Amino acid sequence: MVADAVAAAAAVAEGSQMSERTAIGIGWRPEIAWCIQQRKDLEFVEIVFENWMRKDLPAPLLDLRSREIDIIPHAISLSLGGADRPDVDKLRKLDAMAKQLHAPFVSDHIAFVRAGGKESGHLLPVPRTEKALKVVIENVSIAREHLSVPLALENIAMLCDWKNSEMDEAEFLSRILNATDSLLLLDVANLYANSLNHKFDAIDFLHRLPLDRIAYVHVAGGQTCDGVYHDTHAHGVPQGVYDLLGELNAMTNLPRVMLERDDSFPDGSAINKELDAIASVLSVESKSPGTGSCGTTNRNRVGAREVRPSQGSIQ
Amino acid sequence: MTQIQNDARSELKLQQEQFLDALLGLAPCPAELDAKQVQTCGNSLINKRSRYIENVLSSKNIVVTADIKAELLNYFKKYASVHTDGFRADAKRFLAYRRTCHFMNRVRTKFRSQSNQ
Repeated sequence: MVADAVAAAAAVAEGSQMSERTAIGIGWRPEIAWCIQQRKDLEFVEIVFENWMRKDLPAPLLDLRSREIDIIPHAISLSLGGADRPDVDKLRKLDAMAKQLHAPFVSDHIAFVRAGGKESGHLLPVPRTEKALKVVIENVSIAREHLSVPLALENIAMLCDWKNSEMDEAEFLSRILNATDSLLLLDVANLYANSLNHKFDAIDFLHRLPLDRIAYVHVAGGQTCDGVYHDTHAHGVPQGVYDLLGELNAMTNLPRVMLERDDSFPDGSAINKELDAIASVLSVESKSPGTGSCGTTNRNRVGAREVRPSQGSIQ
Repeated sequence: MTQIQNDARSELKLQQEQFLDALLGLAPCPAELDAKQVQTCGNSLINKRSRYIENVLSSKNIVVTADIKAELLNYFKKYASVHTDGFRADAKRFLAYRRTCHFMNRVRTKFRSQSNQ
């Protein structure tokens, strides 16, 4: 049972010929759909489940699916760390979307987003106590019962944290993943933010996670304001996040890594540069528009170490 | 097991309600949390809500003026938490709130001018 999700992750990776190198993806947003459409080396995209829960999926997204690009529904409101049991109707809708898209897995966060009938609009940290751990494990187990694909759980960025925690985040996360046989969506940008704001060693944190459970990795940007680093998804990716990704890549075989951008969308060249930078860190050849690779297979295994800047990138 | 779980849920529910109320400025910060951190997080939430609504306004070719920013602050006072259906619904609710405010202002202005005559 415990190894099921790990085996599932390995099977997914093998099935898409990704067992020996890392697939690169991006968070699909309508504002950058045209840029994503033209970038030929992307092997998966992630969509925010709630944005499409009540409406038809857009044509450009379905077009990606027809190009055999995996589409991963990413939920932000299941509130798996909440005191209430997860909404079964919403879980069924998430599962239906996963089936429609032939998604290899779905994901959400270890966080709560509502309490006492109020929505936070933010992913908020769960007090890391033994009692809360039991609740989260039960919530995740309920979610898994209603999902026909594996569930990946993401670590969040925390601007505030509980003083009464009985364990640190690495232990809390690991115990949930192991107890529920879930996959890990490791957000290195969130880890970077937390390590800065709460002053702990991010590498030590990584060493203490079950890295064989990684389904995919998030990379995103942010900015420091009044001494606090904010994981905004609206600014460029800082070097520290790339460095952390590099450290992680040296520690384990990463199946998939993706860029997240949710606001203040830059032009296509800036998006391409960030994707190229991720590819460079992972030593995966970049094939952004204009490099002569358009239209070639997106399944080539490559090992080029040097940075391949996007020539003639979309502006 | 279920009883333990229910006790754990009750305790967690109380902690999370207190946290969220503090975050939304509806109650003081509980002892288990750092007041400064909660304030930073609360400000971040306000900024996030504002940005989302301003993006919606821009998509409707509405210029975000100082007046609209002031209306947003009043809206956040009236509706401390995001709409239960998310940010998109929150933006729609702001637009409805704004229409109501403008209508009420027009009624008040008309009433005052009639009273003066």
